[in-house]
Amino acid sequence: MTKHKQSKTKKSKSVFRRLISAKVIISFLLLLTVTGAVTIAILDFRVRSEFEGKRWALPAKVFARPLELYVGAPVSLNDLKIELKALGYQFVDKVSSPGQVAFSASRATLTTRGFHFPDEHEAARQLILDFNGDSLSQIRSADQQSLTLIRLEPALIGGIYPLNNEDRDLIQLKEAPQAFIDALIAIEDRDFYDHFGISPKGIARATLANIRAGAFVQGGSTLTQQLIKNFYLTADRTLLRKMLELPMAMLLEFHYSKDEILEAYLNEVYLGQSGNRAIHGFGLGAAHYFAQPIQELKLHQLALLAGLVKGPSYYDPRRNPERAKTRRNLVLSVLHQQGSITDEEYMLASTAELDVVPAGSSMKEAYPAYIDLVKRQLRREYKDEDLGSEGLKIFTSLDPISQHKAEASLVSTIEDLGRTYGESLAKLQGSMVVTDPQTGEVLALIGDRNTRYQGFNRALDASRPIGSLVKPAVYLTALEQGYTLISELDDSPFSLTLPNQQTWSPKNYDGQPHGIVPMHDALTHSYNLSTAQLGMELGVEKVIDTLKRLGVDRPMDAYPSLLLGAQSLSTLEVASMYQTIAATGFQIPPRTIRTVTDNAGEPLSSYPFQLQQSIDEKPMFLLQYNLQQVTRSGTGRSIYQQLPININTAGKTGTSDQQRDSWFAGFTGNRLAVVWLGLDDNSPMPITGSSGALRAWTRYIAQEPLQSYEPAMPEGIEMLWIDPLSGKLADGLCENATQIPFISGTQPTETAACATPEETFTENPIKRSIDWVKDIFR
Amino acid sequence: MPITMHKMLFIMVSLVMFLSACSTTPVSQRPAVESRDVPVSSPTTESAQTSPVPSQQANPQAMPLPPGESTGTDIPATKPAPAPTNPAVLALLSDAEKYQQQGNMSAAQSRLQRAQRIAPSDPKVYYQLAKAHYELEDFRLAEQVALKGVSYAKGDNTELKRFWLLLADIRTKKGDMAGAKAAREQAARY
Repeated sequence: MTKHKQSKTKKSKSVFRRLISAKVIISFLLLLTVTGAVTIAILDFRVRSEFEGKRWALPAKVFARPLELYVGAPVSLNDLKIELKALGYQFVDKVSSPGQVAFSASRATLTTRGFHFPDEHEAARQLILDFNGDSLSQIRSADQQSLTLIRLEPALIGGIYPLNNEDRDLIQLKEAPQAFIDALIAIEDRDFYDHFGISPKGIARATLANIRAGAFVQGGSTLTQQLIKNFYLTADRTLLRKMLELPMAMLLEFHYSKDEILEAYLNEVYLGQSGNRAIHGFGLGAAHYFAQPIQELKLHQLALLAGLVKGPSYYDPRRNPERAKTRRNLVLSVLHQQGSITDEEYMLASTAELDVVPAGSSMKEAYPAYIDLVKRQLRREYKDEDLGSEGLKIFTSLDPISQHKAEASLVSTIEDLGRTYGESLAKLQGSMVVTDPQTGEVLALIGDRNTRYQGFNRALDASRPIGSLVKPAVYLTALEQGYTLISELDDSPFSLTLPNQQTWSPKNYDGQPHGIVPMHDALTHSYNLSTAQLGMELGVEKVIDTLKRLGVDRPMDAYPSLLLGAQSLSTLEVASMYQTIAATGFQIPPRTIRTVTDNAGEPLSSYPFQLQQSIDEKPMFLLQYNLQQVTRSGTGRSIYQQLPININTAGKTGTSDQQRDSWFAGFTGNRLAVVWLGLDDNSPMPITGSSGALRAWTRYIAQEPLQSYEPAMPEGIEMLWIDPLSGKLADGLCENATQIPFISGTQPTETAACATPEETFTENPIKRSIDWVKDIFR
Repeated sequence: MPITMHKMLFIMVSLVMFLSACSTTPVSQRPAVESRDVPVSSPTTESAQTSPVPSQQANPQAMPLPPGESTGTDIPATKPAPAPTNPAVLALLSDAEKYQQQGNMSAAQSRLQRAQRIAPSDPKVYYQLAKAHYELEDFRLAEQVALKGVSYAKGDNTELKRFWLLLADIRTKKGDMAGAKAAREQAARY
């Protein structure tokens, strides 16, 4: 039964087969045609929609502050050189085009490149700058007109990249020099302007060349095909993808002009690698290899760029300079043969050096610590994918000149200490934050002794015990509660049993108690015993409250050891704390970002000067005075071995327990800097705040334009002569009388024996002033 | 007016002191901190944006000297009356004013921020900045900026009066009537 059934089925099947076979073939052909048409339609749709809507994921560009030039600007000729180096200017004898500068003894002549700032366009122009020592004395245009205010273009200091780490800097076709377009077409696709997307001539030529050479030496891909490959087919290179390349190239040519295709190619092409950052497009390629805009490159450089397309790694001019030179000269010889360049141009270009800037000299990777802080501030408002793709422009306050000086000072100090102390400081690390104390702008930031290291950022992420840097908070708390700078403190040993039954018995750095001391002396010389006792009297909680009002925004434990600096803070947190002191009680949060604009330059957000008064200016003025004593005659006095004595500075040294951390935080009128030195494994060191961090600080400040720190004396402050022995009012006749500021109402009323009682100064300001004059003439 | 009298005296005293300091004063005998306004040199770097504020010893800060009272070349450049506003800053301030009148507050802001960076201790900059925030109805920030400006205006009575009047307006808008009254009283003192 089964058998019968089987034969029947077989028979009907074969008939069926015969019946439908014709149908199948027709259907199949139909299907194929439809599929083909649909495929073409889909491809066409894809080619068009993606090309037209093609928006590369454009990394955000981060800019330094533009250098402002005006008469009196605190910029020396040397500072200008640092700035222009960061901008990739060529130092020449005679200026002929943008991006060039010529120097003489006290003059710089340069042609700027111009820049679209968010607020206005600054045109490219020639400038003649005259310097008088540390400042700019005259600015003129080429036709001798004097100019009031000019901004140089800001240096591009970094980017925020998309997930694929593609970096590019878009250019328009018209921005690419003609010589470059000639070179590119000559070497990659000489029929570009004649073919329809694919070039049978090119393929034939390539095949012939390959047969002759017996190897694959030439590809027949047109620029259009290469673009299709990179543009649409990057993911994987299967046979199917390869087959799609040809129709897509033709479709692209069908819809778009040669210029449009070429412009897309210029920006798409891969040109090399910098760390994990992929260099795309010739705009960025020029910056990456030559640190200059493509418009400023010379023929031999343009030829090299064009030659790199074939194999950016194989022809890498830094790793394989000989190959790169051969390739470049091949490009030049093709140009020469086809008559695009003269004999002379050919000779000159083909014998030139490669003129590539060394790897790692790009300003885009020069300031990783600063960029890190910028990113953190940005991420509060922007999504990562927008930062990496929307082509945002981020204008920051990084000052390449200050950063350069800060780096040089910190690194050389670390190296010097390493030499002096040998093995124990071989791995010494450091961090540094520099701000403008009046605006709160962060000018420079260093997170590692290797300043280009993209890793652990000590300025932000290394929280370390601040040691005596905490003391100003203790003294400020006291001054707010009615203590004066001459209040008597007890600097004698004591022990305290802590809740955990441990005993706390702090010591002075010199191991000696100092008995009864006036308060200002205790801070000036950083005495621990008196500070700790004062802090205990005030209450640790009160000191924490003061720290918070100074801008320290983190939870702190109210242990007595906090009074001597057991609390850990980052370098940046210390900077914001001292910022409030420098600004007389106004909290000014450290800022890095000025403005963020979209790709077209339209402002998206700006970050204006913010401030909030959190501490009364009168006690703050007394503290400022005391911190000036620290640098005049206390633990920071070595500053004046390098700084002129008419420049007031204020600051505090800090050394943590067992000398594991060396700190200095201080300011002048125009710079606030905090330096930390220490070892990552937290080992004790042979250096203190004074012998370590302070050296880097001083070395840095001495290079900056110096501005004396002159805080305005608030109303309600009395400046009085005090006899240091008795703490009573003195006058011009008293030996060693010291001037001390008091909050009105807290000044001593008794007169010292050395002064005549009826000549009490507070009672008669006229008499007091006259006596002062007498004192001077004495 | 005991305060003004006091201030005038200090100015005179400080002038005399500068003269004497250049010749005879044994600087080193005094404690270091107190000798800070004895000029060692007159650095050229401090031209335009040097803080106009003299040291504590010569306080109160820098009342403008009548033009006739210039004491000649012996007066060091480090202790002038409030420095005249740099032309670059004046240009920015006048641009800012123009934009402010046109209602383009962001353009005005960017000029003012530039001016502040160039002359961060010039009270004029803070006055206009405070005014801009006032017009944007950010009264908290306007008040803070104006208070900061007051500290830079020490010794310049015209400027101080202007600041306290602005502060009175700001506080009124903020609803801080007691503060506004106090500001008006301050203004009346100058």
